Amino acid sequence: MTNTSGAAPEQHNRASKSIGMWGATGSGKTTFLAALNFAVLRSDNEDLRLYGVDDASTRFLTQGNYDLTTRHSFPDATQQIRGLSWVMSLSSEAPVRRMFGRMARASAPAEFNLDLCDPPGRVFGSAPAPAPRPQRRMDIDSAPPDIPPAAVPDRDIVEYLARCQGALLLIDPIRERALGDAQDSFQATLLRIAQHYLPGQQPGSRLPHYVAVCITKFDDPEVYALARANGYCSHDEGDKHWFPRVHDAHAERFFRELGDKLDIGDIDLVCSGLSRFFYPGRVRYFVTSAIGFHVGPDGRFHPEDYQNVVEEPGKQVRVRGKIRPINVLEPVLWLGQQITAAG
Amino acid sequence: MSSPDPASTDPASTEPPGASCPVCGRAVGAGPSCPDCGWLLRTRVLVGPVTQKMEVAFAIALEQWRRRWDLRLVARICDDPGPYQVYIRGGAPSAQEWEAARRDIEPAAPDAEDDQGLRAVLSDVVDGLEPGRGTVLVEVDPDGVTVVQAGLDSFGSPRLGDARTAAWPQLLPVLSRAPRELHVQLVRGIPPLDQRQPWDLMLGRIPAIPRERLLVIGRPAGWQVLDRVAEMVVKNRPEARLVRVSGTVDGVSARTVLAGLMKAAPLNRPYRLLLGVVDPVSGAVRVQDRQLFARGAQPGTEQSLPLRLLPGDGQDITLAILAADQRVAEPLVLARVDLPAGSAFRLRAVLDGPGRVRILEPEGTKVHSRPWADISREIPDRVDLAPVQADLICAIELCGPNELVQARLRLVAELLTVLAAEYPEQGRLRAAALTCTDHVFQRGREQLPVVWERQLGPVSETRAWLAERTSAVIGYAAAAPVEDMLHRASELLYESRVAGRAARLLTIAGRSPHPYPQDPAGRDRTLPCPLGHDWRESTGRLARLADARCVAVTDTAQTGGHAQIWRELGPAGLHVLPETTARLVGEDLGLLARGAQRIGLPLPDAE
Repeated sequence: MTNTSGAAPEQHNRASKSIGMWGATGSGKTTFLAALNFAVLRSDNEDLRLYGVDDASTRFLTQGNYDLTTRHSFPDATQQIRGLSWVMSLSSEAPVRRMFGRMARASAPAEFNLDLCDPPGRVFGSAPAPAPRPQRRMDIDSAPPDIPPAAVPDRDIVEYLARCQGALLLIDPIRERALGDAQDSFQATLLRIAQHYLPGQQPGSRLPHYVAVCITKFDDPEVYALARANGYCSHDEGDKHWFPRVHDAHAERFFRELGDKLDIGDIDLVCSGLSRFFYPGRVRYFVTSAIGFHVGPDGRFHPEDYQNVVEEPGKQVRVRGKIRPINVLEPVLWLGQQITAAG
Repeated sequence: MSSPDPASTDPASTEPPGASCPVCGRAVGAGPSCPDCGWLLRTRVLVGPVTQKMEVAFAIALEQWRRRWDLRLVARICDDPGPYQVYIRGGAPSAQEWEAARRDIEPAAPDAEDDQGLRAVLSDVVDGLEPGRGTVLVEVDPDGVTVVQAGLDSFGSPRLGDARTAAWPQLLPVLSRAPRELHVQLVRGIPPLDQRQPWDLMLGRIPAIPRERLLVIGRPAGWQVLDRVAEMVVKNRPEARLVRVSGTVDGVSARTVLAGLMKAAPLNRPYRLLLGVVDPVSGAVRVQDRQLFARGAQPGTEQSLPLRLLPGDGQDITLAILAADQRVAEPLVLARVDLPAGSAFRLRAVLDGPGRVRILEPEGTKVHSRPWADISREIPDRVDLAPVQADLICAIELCGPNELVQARLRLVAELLTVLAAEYPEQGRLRAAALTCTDHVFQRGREQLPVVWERQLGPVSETRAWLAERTSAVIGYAAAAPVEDMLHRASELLYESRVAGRAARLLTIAGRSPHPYPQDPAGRDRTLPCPLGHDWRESTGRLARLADARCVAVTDTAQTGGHAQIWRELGPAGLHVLPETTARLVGEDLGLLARGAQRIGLPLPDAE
């Protein structure tokens, strides 16, 4: 059931720690969440589980699964959804008391909430949502909607994010190049969180959140081509598909280069805002793909034919092959481990 | 009849200086008898007076001896003494006398050849002619001394050069200009010419004799002046051969016989007809020759060759015949004829003799008015023409609105109809069809084949197969699996090329092929061919390995990057469906001749 009454989920199944999803309209939050379920299920870590805290959240996962695998389409945008929440359980390194009162770290089961409570993504921004249009995964050719004067982010949502221990910030570089509103949305929300949290703190304090910045649509031809051409691509030895990846250590630099080379607005301001308002080490960049790349008949990635979406003018974008998320689980796990380990 | 008894003569003669033989007129020598006529010139001194009886007897003997001598002379000149009877002392001979005279002269030249022998000698001359090495014929006959050179002309045909004759009165002014008197003089000899000087002068007046193989013919044998002059010509010429020929003044000259032998000689080298040969794959034109008459062919031989013309080519067709190893560029025979365009015909020609060929068919053949250099300059290096054997593949996209797909199929059907009429010969043109429907970019269906094929076979069967094709719905708008058709076409046409058949490809589609690989820059989001076929690689193979001539037809005029793609798909011609015709496409494919295209030479045709 869709919760439209308030910003924060109130279900009784909730864990004590939460991660909120943060991103502009069309930044792929819905698809990311749907893909996360695939990533969890395909993970070798059997301690991982993701489940909804209520019927609406569970149905969301079910629908996302159906859309991606059966309809071969992307989940509908979250126009009206508020307050969806899932619990992710995992093993986490946590401090435990040993003999003689000594403290040590040990693996222990942990849980945290993953909340999608912003839904329409415009809530994070300063602009109202554009009029609904046929779904396009890459709307780069269409003119950006007329953007009216700045709107104020939803207060409840901001307060909720301020209360979360972690945030999953999604940035779609292709959409950002076309519309350029991610930075706008990010700055507006960031300032509101700071306004909500920082007063009364010690001078020099920063926001305590952990932030996983997910640069989405790594599978997009332009994003992948840039990564490949500039030497960012590497491969995990254990990856049976030989998917390319951008190592997390290089993700921020790649993000900045992406901004420069694809002429994507003021991406540097996003990086700058994150480094100024959050503590060092609490922000990490991930280059992700919700649907992953296409694989050939041999089950391997081929740089000659890797696009996993079928897009045609005037038609709904379709998913071409199997969903094989790249770096979708990793930012969530990183956030989960950080916030659960923090005690 | 015999001369007086030599026993009665006395060598101590009392004849005056410069005395000559009373019979033949030759200067008297030291011997008792005249070496020419045998008249007893000297007897021993008789004792006693010369009686009347003795004088009468001597006069009778002298008269008889003279008559016998004259008859022999005339018998050497001709078979009928009539015209020459004035030169017979004692008047016209009786039949018995004439017969006896003719019998007497038979052994006069025992080594002389008769007419048959002369022909044999001259045949050897003809046979022995070699390029750059001829034979000089010097004929010493009643007309004078004639020098003529026999050799091979630029085409290797035996030819006699111009004869240069010095008549006897020019050579020896003392000789008469009256023919009969001259003949008598030539047979009898001229007493004053017993001296050497006039003969030496005469040699200087003979036309120059080239230093080649020399054959001297003295004819008729037994004519004293002729024999002597012939011997003088061969003197000091070790390579020279002297042949005396018996006969009379009416005999045929050796040079006439030689000319006849030359005309009737078999060919000493083959004669060849120049033909245009078109490479079935590239259309490159070469000029080749084909044997018309073999070496050894006799005059009167008739030959025919099956020929055909380039489709569209018919006016002012050149028929050129060369002799093998000829030394000039101009053909031996250069003729022209107008024929129906593209027709097949037979060339019939008869060999009249070396260097002489008469064209019997096609009718209306005339001597060409232009030099070969001009004609050959107009022969193109390459033509777009119907190849000898060709394979055509029609690759057609079946996706799109039915009306549009039917228009594509209709164009191909029209083309195949025209081609079936143009290529009625079985197996000369084979056609195949490839059709495609869209790739299905869905899990499990991407690897499914999208190309359907009608194998190479008769044009009419391919046309019938295509008539059953129907349109299909577009499944992926950005591209059509043209690359898959190209891939298959490159395989088929490579085999055609290996088999020596010209390769032709017609591609008709509404959309560009899928790329492969995906655009490395990521800008073109068209999905690459899921079967991994790279259309550029296929077109490269078609060009390099199959040497295929590729024509493309699009539904509409292409722009931007697609225009470049289609130019590469149709390097031999790019057409827009509503604006083109089957004929234009066929011309670009090189299967139908363009109107203005000609090579002007016949092509070889199958027997």
